[in-house]
Amino acid sequence: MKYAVAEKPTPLRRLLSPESYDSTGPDLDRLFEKVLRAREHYYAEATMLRRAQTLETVFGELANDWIVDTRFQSSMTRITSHPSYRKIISLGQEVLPLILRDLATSPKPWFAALREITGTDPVQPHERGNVRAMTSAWLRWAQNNNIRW
Amino acid sequence: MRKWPRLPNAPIVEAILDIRVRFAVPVDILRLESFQDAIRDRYPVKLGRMSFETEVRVEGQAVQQGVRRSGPDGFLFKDSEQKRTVQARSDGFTFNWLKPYDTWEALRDEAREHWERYRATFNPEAAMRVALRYINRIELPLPFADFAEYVRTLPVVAPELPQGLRTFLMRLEIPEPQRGFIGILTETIEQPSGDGRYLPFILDIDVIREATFDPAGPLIWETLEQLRDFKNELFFGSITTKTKELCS
Repeated sequence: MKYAVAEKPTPLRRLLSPESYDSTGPDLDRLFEKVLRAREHYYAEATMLRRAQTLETVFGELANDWIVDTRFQSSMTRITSHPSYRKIISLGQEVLPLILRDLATSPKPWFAALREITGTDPVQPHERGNVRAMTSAWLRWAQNNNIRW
Repeated sequence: MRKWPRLPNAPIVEAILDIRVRFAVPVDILRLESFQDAIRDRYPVKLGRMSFETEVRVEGQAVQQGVRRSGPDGFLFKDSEQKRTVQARSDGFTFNWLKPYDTWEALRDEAREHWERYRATFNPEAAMRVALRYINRIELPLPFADFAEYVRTLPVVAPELPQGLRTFLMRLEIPEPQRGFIGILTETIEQPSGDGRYLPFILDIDVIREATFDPAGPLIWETLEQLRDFKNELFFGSITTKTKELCS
């Protein structure tokens, strides 16, 4: 058995996503559950590597949905109440490094999420509305609190 | 205990020692946060841990993935380099050691120190499961004629079928009835690295003993020593001499 070099290698995530069919009988259901169990074990909660991988994947998918759906939206309330944005907040403190990394690369309205997750706001009143200053304030806060991104 | 060779270039990317517990009265999540007080100098980074699961929903022919959160269940305390993590959770304790790995003795001794504090602080009624998990990433040099040059436990494709595999995921549960252990061996390959010169082969070995242990007794640690032997049997039994040389 050898490695078949592929132009487009199949990502593992795809391999771990069970196929579904219209007519799912009991055997197919059991098979489906087995693939899910394999997936859960591979991404077991106690492992740091896999957990980080899962978080990164989930964050990437949710952030992408949020950006695509709100790209023509000007209402900040609507932008920050988008279901994917809310789901990212629900991931809690562990998702902070991913938000900060994204913020440092290309500033986006992550400030409401950061406030909700951390329960704090390091942005000074005179910095509000200035995305660059707000970004710097949050990145400084993260550094001071030993959070790396 | 058997003597095992020490590989100078061990392919371990993460080693995990995990003890699941049962409490007579659920432990308060805020008390778990105070676990950091005694280790803050070594583990200054604190992250709240949400219990989350990715879920897959099937709606007609569409498969949708999402995330479900069931609430806070503990804390992760990381060292400043984020290479080691102590997890204090409402269902147990975990010590993670990311690459570079040192020795089993170093892992065990530090895990034991944290476990003794966890046990003394939160007073679990019993430990229900102890486990060791080692995730190995072995960079196989490309090209090669056959996976069997490097790996001895592999999926078998019937000889009359095409022998090229683009990817695979193999998960084997191997019971060891004499000691009541279960070994879960997961193998997969990732996308080629180093400009296509290497194929990362993941050999993930999880060894588990489910039983009721006295949290303060020595049996937990005797069992972990035996689990480490079993893990090594699975590891060294699954790789070839050529792979050992890659790790030397």
